[in-house]
Amino acid sequence: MRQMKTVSMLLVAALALSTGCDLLNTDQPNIVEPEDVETEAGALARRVGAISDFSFAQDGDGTLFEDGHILLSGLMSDEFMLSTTPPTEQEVDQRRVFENNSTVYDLFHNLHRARAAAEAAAAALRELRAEPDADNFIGEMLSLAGFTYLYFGESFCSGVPFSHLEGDEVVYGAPQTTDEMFQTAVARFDAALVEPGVQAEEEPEITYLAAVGKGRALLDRGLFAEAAAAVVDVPTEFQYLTEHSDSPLRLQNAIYSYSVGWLWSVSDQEGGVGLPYRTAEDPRVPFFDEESAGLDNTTPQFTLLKYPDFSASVVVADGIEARLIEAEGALQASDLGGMTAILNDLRTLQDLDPLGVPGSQDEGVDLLFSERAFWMFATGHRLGDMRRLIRQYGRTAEQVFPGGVYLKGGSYGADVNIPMPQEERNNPNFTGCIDRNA
Amino acid sequence: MTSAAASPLPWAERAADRSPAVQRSRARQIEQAQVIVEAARRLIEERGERFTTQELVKEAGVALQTFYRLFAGKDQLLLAVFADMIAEYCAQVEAVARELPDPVDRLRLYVTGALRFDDNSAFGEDFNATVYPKASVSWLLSEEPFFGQEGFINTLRLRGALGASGQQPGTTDALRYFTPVSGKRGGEATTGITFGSLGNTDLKPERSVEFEVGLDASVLKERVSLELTYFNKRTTDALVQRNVAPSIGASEFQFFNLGEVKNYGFEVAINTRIIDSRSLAWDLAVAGSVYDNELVELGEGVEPIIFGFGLQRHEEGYPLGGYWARPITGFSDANGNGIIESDEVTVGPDAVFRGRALPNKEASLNSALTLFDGRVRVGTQFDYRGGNYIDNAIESFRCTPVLNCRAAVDKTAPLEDQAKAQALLFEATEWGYYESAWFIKLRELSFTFFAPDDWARRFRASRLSLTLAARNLWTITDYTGVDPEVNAFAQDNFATSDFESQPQVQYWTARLNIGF
Repeated sequence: MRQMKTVSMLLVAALALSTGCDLLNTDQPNIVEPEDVETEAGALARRVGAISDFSFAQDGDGTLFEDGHILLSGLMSDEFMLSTTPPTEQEVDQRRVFENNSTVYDLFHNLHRARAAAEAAAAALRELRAEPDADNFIGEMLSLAGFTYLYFGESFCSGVPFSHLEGDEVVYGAPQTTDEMFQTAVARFDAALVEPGVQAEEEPEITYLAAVGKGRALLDRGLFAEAAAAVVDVPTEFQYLTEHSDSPLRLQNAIYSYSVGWLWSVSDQEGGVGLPYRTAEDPRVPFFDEESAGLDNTTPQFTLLKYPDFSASVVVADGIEARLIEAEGALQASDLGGMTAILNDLRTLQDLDPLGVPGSQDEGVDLLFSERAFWMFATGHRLGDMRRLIRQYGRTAEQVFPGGVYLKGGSYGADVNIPMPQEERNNPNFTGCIDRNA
Repeated sequence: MTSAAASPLPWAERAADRSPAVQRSRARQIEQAQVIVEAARRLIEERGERFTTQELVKEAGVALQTFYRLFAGKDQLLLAVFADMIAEYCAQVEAVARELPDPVDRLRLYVTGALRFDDNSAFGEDFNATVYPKASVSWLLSEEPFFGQEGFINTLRLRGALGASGQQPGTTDALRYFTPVSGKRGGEATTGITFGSLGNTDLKPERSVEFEVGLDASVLKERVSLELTYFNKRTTDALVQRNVAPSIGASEFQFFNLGEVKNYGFEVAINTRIIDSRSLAWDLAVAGSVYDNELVELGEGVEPIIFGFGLQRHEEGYPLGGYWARPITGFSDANGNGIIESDEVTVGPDAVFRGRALPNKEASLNSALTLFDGRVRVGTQFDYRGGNYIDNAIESFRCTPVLNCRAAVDKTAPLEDQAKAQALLFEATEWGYYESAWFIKLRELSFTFFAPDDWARRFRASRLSLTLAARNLWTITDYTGVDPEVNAFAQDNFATSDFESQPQVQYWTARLNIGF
């Protein structure tokens, strides 16, 4: 028994040794802890990370696991047919999306990650850099954050909450209506425009990025004249791009991957009311008829050629969109001639035949939205535009969204936007979509 | 070197210790330390390790400075409590053993006890170390004088155990961190950082307290042995990976210590030699278990945790990881056209519990028949598992989106199957594809031939045998998929599904054993 006591005490002593010193304070080699990046270099690394997160949320990546905003919103609109099989993607294509849809969760989560990363990077750049106004980085981060609010407002139902971290604490956001999301987007773009580093740009880039973003958000709010005014200084040749590479997978252009992988197929007059993206034979929507079914062995595969390889860049905002916003300003002012002139100026960029002046306001709406759809095919604009046709131009969902018999069985549903995933119910302020209206 | 800078010599320390003043002070400090440790033990009994130093000194009736003079901190105090409890327990065991007349008698009763002290860098920074006590007792009843030696029961042992254990969090589960990520801007690819994990500074080990009683017996001249166990385990502060609200814009999951889980059940094992002769012997072993688990409490304000393609849940009052879906509440061929159409199936509005995903009944039967004076042995093993469901996701996938399952394209398919397909196609409910996953399998059949010694000697060997064996030969089940035992999620704790999964393969082996 004495021996047992001795062994016990030795064990206790060993434990005391192991706990009394710093043996348990180990470094974790594969992770970056927050205190490691509380530096100027850390702030710059957060900016690069935020750009990467934004690109991933908008375009997806080469892993083919998570669909970006352009791909998924294009699937719900009349741009793409699903030529692969996952049921969660089919729900979106068929406009019958349920709250437990994991594909929708991925997009919702990735857009929030991009939003939170951009906002946190802006704060870190301001706080940790010796000369935060020496360049336009803060304005760039605020602008990218603004675009994420735009994407939420244009693609998801009303009632998206925006939560954030304050130190160790989670501050759960209250749901924002669709219009409130656009207001927040405008606020981010305005904040970017007044950043000293943006105002000091010798060759404006973020100035134009924020201007186009603001114009787009104002269009979404139905403030057409203000939208046109916001973009008036943006030159037609301006482009702000997300950039891609052949490798690593994270940097690959997923719109190209999904196209050449026969997962997404270019639509034509989808569901009876979609635009004739293929039959129009328009160089702005280049495609190739594979004369075969896609990966699902059912859907005819028409492969989009707009993004020719893994490294093809994707437009976030450009001068063409600025002109289209001006054209809509003219439309709203019943200046159909002015609108057509702007559209025809743009068409010269692709050597397209000029358009005739539409005979009525209604025809003008059709013409403008068709031109927007072709110019900005597969850039994440179309679903928002289709919703605007209902919300701002009095069209019905049946006149705008594909309907009738669905190619793979059953019929199209009635969704005109994407619902939020059930995982958001872990937010105590969240109760689901406020409404499912356009 | 000056004497002031050197450590005191041992003889000087001993001389100082002999001083009456030092001895008085030392006795006083020992007494105070004991008071503090006793106070700590009282607090631990009342509320675990959750007490502050202020509460401790109040309980002990000493000043805070006294505590810090005697102990470096709470960790060291816990170690002292640990040592104190072991010493007390040893004294008790010694006292009991001293009363027994001889050493052999003392072996009828086994009492063991242990305390485990855990600290871990994986704990959240706001959580300290923890202690797990355990004790067990085993009584060899059949060795007692009052137990008859010639009865039906040859040996009987009663046993019981009560103990606490813990499961540590993963290495980085408690940490908030970023991860490197590639980005490209201005034509240049470079590395940035993105949010990796939220972490949880309060994360601590989950703690289980398990109570177990049972008996081991042998009967019929020790030809039948029996083991019977009842266990009941309650796990608190269960480590649960929970979805984070995506609107935070952080990681997908976060580990929490949530709620309480209850596991309980019976295990039984019977080993018997049915035939025992020189030319023929037959051994039979049967083992089985029945158990249940229930998520007693998930935590206030915590939504059910949903995973596994959104089909499985951890929800209060139900088994962990059960299958849930909106139920098919009825169907009928109302228009009499011989097929079920979408409007002829009704589906409930909310997801309800369909069944557990993991089996709660298991049994195995092993038989070994030895023939021809031990030259040939025939072994068989049957396995049974049941009580659970599996999602036949490969069949539902055929129905939608691929649209080539029989129920979706063949008008002669059973109406019930058509109803399941219609409910899936138009109401997106997987309900009809959750199938009972019980099975009985002939897991193994083997024949072994033990060669005579002179055969072995021809190979300069001492032993020679040849075994022919086959596994997974036969399955009895109601499951309509390939194999109810598959899982597309492989090693995942709870997620189960039959989707593009390889069934248990049937294979045959021939093995030649040569012993030298």
